[in-house]
Amino acid sequence: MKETKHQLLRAVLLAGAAVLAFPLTAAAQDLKAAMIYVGPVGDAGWTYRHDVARQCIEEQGVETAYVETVPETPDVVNVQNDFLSQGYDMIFATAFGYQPFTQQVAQANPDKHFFGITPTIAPADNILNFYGKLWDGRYLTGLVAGAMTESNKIGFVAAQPIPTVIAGLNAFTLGARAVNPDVTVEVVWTLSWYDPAAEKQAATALVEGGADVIAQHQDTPSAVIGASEKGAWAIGSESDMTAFAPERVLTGTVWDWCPFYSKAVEMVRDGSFAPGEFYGGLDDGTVSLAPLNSAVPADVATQVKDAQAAIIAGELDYWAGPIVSNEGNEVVAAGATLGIADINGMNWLVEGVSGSLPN
Amino acid sequence: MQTRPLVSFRGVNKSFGALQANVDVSFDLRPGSILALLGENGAGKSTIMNVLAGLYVPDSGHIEVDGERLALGSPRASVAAGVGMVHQQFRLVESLSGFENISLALHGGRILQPRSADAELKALMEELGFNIDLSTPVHAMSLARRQQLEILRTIAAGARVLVLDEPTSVLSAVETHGLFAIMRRIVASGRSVILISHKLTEVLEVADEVVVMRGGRVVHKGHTAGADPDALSRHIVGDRSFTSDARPERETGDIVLRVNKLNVADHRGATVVHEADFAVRSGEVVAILGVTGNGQTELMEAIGGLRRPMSGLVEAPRHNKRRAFAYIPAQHLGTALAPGLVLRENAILGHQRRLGGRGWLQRHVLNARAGHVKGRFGVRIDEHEPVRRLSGGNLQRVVLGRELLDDPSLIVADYPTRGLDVASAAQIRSALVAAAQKGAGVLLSSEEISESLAIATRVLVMHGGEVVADLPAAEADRARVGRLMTRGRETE
Amino acid sequence: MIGIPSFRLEPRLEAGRPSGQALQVLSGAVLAFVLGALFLIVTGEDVLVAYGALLRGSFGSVNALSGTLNKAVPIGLCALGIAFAYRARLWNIGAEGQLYMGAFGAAGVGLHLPADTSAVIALPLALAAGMLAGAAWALVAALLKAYRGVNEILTTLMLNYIAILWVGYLVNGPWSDPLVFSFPYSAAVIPGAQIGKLFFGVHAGLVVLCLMAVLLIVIDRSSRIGYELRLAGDAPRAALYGGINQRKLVLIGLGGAGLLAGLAGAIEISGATLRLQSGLSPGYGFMAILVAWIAQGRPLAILLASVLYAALLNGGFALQVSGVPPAIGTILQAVLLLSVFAATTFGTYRLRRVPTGSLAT
Repeated sequence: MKETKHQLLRAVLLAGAAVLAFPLTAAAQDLKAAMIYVGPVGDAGWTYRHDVARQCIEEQGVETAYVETVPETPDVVNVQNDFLSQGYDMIFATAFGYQPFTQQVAQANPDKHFFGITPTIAPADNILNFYGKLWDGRYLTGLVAGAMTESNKIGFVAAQPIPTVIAGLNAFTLGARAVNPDVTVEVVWTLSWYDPAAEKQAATALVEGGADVIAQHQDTPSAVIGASEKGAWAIGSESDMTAFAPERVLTGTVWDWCPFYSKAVEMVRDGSFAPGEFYGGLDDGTVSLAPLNSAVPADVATQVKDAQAAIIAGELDYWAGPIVSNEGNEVVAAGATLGIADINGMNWLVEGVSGSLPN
Repeated sequence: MQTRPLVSFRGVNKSFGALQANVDVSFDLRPGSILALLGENGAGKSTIMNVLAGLYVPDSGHIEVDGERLALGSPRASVAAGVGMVHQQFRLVESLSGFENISLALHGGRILQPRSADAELKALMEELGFNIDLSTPVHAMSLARRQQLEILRTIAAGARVLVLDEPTSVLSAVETHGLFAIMRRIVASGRSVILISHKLTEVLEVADEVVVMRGGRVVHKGHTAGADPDALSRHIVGDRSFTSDARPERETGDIVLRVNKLNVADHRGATVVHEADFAVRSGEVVAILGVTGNGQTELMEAIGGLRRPMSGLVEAPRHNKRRAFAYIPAQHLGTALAPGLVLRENAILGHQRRLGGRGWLQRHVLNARAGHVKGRFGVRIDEHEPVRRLSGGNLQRVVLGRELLDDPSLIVADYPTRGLDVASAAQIRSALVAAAQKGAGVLLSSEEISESLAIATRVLVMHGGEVVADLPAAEADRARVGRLMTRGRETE
Repeated sequence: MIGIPSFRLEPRLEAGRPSGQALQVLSGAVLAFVLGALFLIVTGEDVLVAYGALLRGSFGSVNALSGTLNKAVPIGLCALGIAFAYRARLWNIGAEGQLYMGAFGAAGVGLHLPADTSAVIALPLALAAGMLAGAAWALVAALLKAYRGVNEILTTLMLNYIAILWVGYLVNGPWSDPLVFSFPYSAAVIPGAQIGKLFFGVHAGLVVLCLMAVLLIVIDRSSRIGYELRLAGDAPRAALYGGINQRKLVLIGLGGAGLLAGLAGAIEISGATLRLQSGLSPGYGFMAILVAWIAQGRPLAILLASVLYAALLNGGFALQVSGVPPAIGTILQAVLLLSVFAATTFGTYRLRRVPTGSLAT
């Protein structure tokens, strides 16, 4: 009787140990990369694009896993620690707000590699933060929007008033006014990265206010859907949102993190990892445009194509002064331009934007 | 002729933990008879009736109805066998009319309900002598009407065995006789009644047979015809003897309670006490007599601080603006006692700010008080048990024990003996008299004329919300008080 | 002949002993894991992998254990507060908002004291400011209840949104850290206002939580105010009879609840996030309602339940790490929680075998 009890106990212990130990021993020879997402992979936007990149490096032989909908709180520490306990070597923490928590874990695990979203506020020797020059793509979509609007009123549904969003909005406005100086861009802040209902409502309200093109910086295609239902043109963001309204989507900026993820894997494999910041752009394909709608005239398409080539070649710098803010202040003097640090601290809206930064 | 019994209890045992609530309970109920079930509080009457109703599963034993074994522990089976209970607390939906309540019982939650009484129901009412307007909503009915409705509903639902739990405790004398008339017609129709009661005189008046329980056992079975009340009393209380009541013999002293032109409204806002104006002196036992519902309870509540008077003044002993005298309200559980709190905690209710300790309750003080409260009237309960488990009589003893603890100079007691068995009631009357003897002023309300007259030094009669008479005990005889209670005046 | 025995639920007449109730919760947990396993099998997941991950993510390592204990602190403190108010049958649905206001109060102190202020001064000040802010926020609902009879369930619920938006406004505007590029973050609070680590990654908030649980036990057992709260909760009319000022009780009950939730917010600021931010709490104040209920308001049971709840949350992430789809993980968490909840509720009943009446002997 007593013996069977012991046997049973031993069996249970063994089973438990096997469960705990199994992931540690498996596939230790090759790289394992973990992704932490701020939203659900089904958002069709920011998180979805990172998940596509995850699948991309998985095809390159990297074992991957992800955890979605992790808030920007100390939970990130728990999730990262759990990944590390499971033998993961690389952690992609794909939200800006994860940085302070990533820093804690990174400092405690100097032999692992961490990748976060710029701008860097919490550095460590094993953290490389990345982002793309999204604003370049936004400038190009601005060219399309400026050419297509008839009411000269363009709507922009924006998530949070943070520099990358502000810079994208400003670049978009500069692009639109480059082809159509009469354009005003009206901005609505949803103050959320993931709130499909509010995003759609904002787009609808903008159309009702007279806008006939709706652009966005949101993680979901809700604004695109809202705009198309009201008969306006829509410009997507984050991923190719054409499928959500094939007739009405003009184009959009598309993130492709596969180039960077592949590069990161390579760096870790060959030992060339260096901490700091990395910005992808139109040149390496991190930022690109969704296919243009057939309704876009050929001359506009050509203009967009030329501008893209010029930006990549460094011949076109739309941030060159003079630039005046929508409050009338000269924010970039004649002869000056903006570097990444300036863009990362951007807290003004360019002339032509109707609206203000919520405070 | 020996007829087959309608219901037979055969050796029923039921215990709750260590408490043996029913021990080998066996007796028969014959068809067409009224059987009185007598016993003190906690004698096991309610337990055996709850077994009959299917609410409790007995540990052993069984019950036969018409010679068939009753499926135990199933309220549905009991109802199907024809058992109907009328509890002290009525189970009526107050917002519905009388007929709707009956219909609800007969047809359950059926969506399409008949709208008025059918011929069958009317015939039943005729046969049994019910006189209720079924279209009246229940909340507008008097307690006596509600009771009739409850009985009618139970019989209409098919009851052949009607259990009435202390039905007369809420009724006036006139209403009681009305109820007895209905009971006699019910048994004449072939149904039977089990009457649970404390009141020997009533039992001897209406019942055919009597079963006395004590300590969970049946100690006496017999016919009421020719029964000796004193012998029954001895069966009920056992060998214990209790002292007879006597008035306090003491010079009256200072005024301890002054009620000055007091007007009080009930919960609907209707004035139910008009210009009450009297005083109680130390050493007095003042009885307020009146037919139930003539403002006594509201008056007592206004004095005790449970009800804010509309106008007028109550001068009584206070400590930091809080009541500092004994007040025994008519309702114990939920008012004078917190049902979910244990005895130790209930033993300081109302006194918690007079015990010292600067915001802390000292364990030794609590224990001492709990000991006194239990000891005063002999309540047996674990101090760490919630008091909701206590029987009605024990609840009353706990409240009295607590309220009399600090030798209060004033005792206000609303129906202090209601629902108590003979011995307990005598014990409590003696305690009140003893307190007055030691110098307290006592104000008590009661519906029992003779009990009150036995101990009161003065009698106030209330009628229609007014104090219609203020009589010294010597001038208060039963007949005179009875006339005042029912008519508000002495002349014909 | 033997009939099929039938069973029915009967309310328990005797009060359950603590050991007996612990047994019920334990059997509830076992039931929970059995149901959870069935669910996993039906959805085609590996039961051992899933439960292994749940265990690993919550208690499986020093890091996991630290994360779980730290997470239990805000949940436990809010639950103690909710239980305190419920002594008087006051429903505090506003712990979440009170937590945010507590975070606001603590951050206000932690951001504005001179950077070199000693911890001896800064930490008590920050915690006290958090408690006061939380209590003040709860008092808004308490005053409305005491003097205007406004239902506290609705007011405390609605005040949550105001508090969360208020913190959102602060971190987007006046208190936003210029160094974090106007992300919805404040700067970090000064080092003196940060609560130290106890051991490994566990911060000293755990000690505060335990102290508060003990304090609640003492209040329950020996304080007059604890007595009056329970009395008013059990029988409001008995409180009136006992000469208790019911308005004062409402203020103390809800104010105390707010104080504890505010303390939870202050500890989150000084121990976990170190800065004020939007999304500070993933709903600790609401989880605490469930925890307080499962623990039936008992302080020690609240400690245990909040640790287990935190374990379930952290284990949920580990489920994903081990490849269990997030939706399955979330449903599994819900199944486990509901089973324990049901088991504790049924604990007030007992199953009784009913002898069949028609049985011939």
